[in-house]
Amino acid sequence: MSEFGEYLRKKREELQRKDQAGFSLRQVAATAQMEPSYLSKIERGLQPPPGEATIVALARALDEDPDVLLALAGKVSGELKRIIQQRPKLFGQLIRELKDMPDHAVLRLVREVRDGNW
Amino acid sequence: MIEVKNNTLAFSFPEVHESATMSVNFQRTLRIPDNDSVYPLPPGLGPFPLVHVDDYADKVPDAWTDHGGVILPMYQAEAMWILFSSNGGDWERGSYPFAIKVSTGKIDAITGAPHCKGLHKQPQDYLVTPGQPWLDGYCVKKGIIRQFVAMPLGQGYTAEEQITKEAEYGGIQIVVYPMKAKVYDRRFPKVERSRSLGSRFGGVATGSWGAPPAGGASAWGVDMGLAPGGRMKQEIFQDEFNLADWDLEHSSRCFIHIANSMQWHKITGTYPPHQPPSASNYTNAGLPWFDYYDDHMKAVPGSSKLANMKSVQVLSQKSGKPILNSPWETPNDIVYVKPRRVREGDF
Repeated sequence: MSEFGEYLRKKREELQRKDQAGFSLRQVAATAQMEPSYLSKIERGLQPPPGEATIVALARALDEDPDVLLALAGKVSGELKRIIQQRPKLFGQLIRELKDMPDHAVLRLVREVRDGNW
Repeated sequence: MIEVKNNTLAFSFPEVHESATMSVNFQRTLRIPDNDSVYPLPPGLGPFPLVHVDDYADKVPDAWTDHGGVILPMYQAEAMWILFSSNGGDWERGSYPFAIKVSTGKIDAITGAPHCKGLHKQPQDYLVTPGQPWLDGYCVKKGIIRQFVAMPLGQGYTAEEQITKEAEYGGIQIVVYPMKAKVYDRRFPKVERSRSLGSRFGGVATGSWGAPPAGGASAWGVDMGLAPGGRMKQEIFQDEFNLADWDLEHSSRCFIHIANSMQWHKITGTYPPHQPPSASNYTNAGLPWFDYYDDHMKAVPGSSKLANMKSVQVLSQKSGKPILNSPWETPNDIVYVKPRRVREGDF
């Protein structure tokens, strides 16, 4: 069983416990615009993870972060790839430096409003 | 730390507590008539745009880059109110409390005293959120404020000039202090809670953007500050906590510069949102006004310094360039917003 499929199934079943009708295999497949049998095979690891667009649709259907699902499927979003490709040296270096930082330190990298003298 | 997210200042204090987050934005609104009557609260028409000063460092005065912070656009005589949202992540425990100081031109909007460090209870020079969702103006009397109205610095209208006789800073200054983490953990253990508060937004489209102003932008012009406008009913609530409950070691502050519409266009290349409708047009369209009350809270008394200020209307009539009130009808559709009390746990 693939890690991706197992995660997907657990997440869906967790949601289904709270909302029986909204998160059946059939309903989630419909929301993500795919065949229920295909989703079932992915969940059971009988099929490899689908393409990026389908993973993003599944993330929306399950209220999950698309980057998290893509990573589980061994993928990086096209958007992130393009960001890195635009400034490969800078972002390569940056990501390597961030590799071992704790989460709170990485979060510190967000753009802050600068305070000055007043 | 402070970030700009969707035209909102997002404050967070991860070094204090993971739930210590809140946000502040500046709502476009109607200018209420500036006469002897006391009006209900006008609606929010969406937030003013906000940009980092640093992104336009080559286009703004050096003093602005020295102050740091953000820029927002206002038309002369346009009004605003400030929205505080204590959205601290954990609903089961209640929102994380914050003490917030609001100054305009470095004059405290609650006490009329010059901006100073720290928090004081006598007189109380800050607001507490959750509890105080909005601030619409200067606290001139218990339960009465004078609306924040944008005016150019140097003409004597702004609170700063009326109180200090100087036109030095302009803009708005906000300082936020979180509750001490151990006090939050003690006062707010996990219990079932419901989301509080109603909202205060009018029925007017909020996303429309203005047409180019007539004439080209040439010189920089003068900075803008906030001045006292018409009177409305709004209580500034007393702090129910102890002064020692606030974490004075971890504050975040932001200088909000106000650019007039021409300066904004020159700085950002975009146009500010349309001017809001007049109060009478809004009322005649049958749209609601607001009132907020909380039986459980006491209001602070007003400041005599702020009460002694002359309103924009009075000063503009003296100068011979009156800023006219639009024709006026009493609002009859008033939405009463009452917070659902968040009960503190036993301690």
